[in-house]
Amino acid sequence: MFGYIKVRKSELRVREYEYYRACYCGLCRSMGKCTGQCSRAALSYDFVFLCHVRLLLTGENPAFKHRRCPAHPIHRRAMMERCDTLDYAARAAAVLNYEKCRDDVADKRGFARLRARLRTWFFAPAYRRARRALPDLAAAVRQKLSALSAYENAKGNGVDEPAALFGAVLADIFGYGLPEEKARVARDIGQKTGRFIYIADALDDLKDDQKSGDFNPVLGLFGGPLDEEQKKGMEDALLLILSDLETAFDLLGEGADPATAAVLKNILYLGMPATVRRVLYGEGCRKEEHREQ
Amino acid sequence: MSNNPYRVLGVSPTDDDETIKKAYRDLARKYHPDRYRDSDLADLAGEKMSEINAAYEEIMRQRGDAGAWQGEENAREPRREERPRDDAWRDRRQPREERQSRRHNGARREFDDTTASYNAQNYSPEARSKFTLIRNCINSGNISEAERLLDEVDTADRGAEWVFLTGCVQLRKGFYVDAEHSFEEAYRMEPTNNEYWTFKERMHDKAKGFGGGYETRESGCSACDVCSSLICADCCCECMGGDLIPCC
Repeated sequence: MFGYIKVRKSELRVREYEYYRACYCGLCRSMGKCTGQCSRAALSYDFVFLCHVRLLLTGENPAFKHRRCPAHPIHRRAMMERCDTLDYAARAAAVLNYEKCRDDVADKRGFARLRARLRTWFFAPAYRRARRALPDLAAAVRQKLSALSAYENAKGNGVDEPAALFGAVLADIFGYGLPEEKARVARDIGQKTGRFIYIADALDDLKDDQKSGDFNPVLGLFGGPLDEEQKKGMEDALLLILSDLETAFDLLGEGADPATAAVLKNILYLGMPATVRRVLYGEGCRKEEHREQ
Repeated sequence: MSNNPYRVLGVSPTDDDETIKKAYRDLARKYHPDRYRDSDLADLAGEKMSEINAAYEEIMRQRGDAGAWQGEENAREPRREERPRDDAWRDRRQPREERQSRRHNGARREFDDTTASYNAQNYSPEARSKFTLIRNCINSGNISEAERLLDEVDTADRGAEWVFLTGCVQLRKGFYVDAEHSFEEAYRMEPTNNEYWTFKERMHDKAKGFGGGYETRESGCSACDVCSSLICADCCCECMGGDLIPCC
């Protein structure tokens, strides 16, 4: 369920890309500090997106520092210093990642289940530390995700309903602890992003789920692989979610560093549509993306 | 309202009136209530909109005074009609946006008339009156009531119209996949009905409209490109025995 929200690197300015990467590295470092070294394996671009949204809303402007890290021991990399936003995102990532693993243990069969169980053991300490810091968030996420899996187990016949349930999870994560009005904007962004991720993920897993017979909402709605017309329809639906997301983005404000907003724009207008094309038509592996330009 | 009206509009005090007007128009378009019709954040957008209006008015007032002093003619009067509140300002937009905005305006009332185009013989009289009621509910934005009424409709009457109205409710809730599916289904059940098809097309149009917000800085041609192209074309012409630019 991760990795659907990326930037298109080739269209970023150099300083915007550096900002993005510093945020990525800073988040990784925060994960190490807040929830333990193991949790760094769960780093994903989606939470870098969360960091950007919240940095824009809180107006925090963390300093950069060049550091070495275990993954890049030779060259120093620019990293954002730890701040509330990054620490929060690190903990939220630990919570969501652990819940996802638990979900897999319940859903998967055979070897995949064993692998999921190993992952839960691996990430459990991180989850415990995150839960200690954010007990109410952990409870809310668990409760909302159990509503989602209840829907999935009942094999409900709709795509948007479970997507909205997943959106509610991300709404909680995005809006947690922010002041009233900002929390509403963040929740709205979380809701729409959650829907987008859920549907994109369902489309991405379509072939595998059809083979394995796992629940897939898109398969439930259309009853089989999509034809061209249906793919067009799904593309429209995802783009419409993005245009809803755009209206919420417009209320984010400016933030302390112009690069934050620029990165978010890149994600919304280029990164996410590229994800739509990739999950629907299989386009957009790296080479093709470059050729297209 | 925040302190400096120029900052609100994102312009500098040295910019001319045209630039400020353009910045104002862009912002007003961005936070226009039509865009936030189905959003939970409509009130925040409204606040932003009034902030922008106030800032623009403030600047125009200041400039009005300065303008009188400098003897500029466009100082005081145009202020009112400049404000993009009415339909007049929309006419100046790009065609695509125009189409979208018309869609938005139409969509404030989802249906133009509530007694609709469906094939009435297929439904019982209670169902027909209920459908009209549901259409009214959707038009007035009362989505939960419409949903309740849809649930009440007898299973025997759940034909194309029912599927279509379900789709409209889903559309208003932002459930786009299901809405698209419902419109498709309704159209399949009653292919003679134009309304069902129009709604699907509208969704497609709006989705097509997304994505113009990022300048990829790749198109465009500089003055240098123009000159070198002309020189090139001239060379080619001369090779063929003609001449494009006689002086060289």
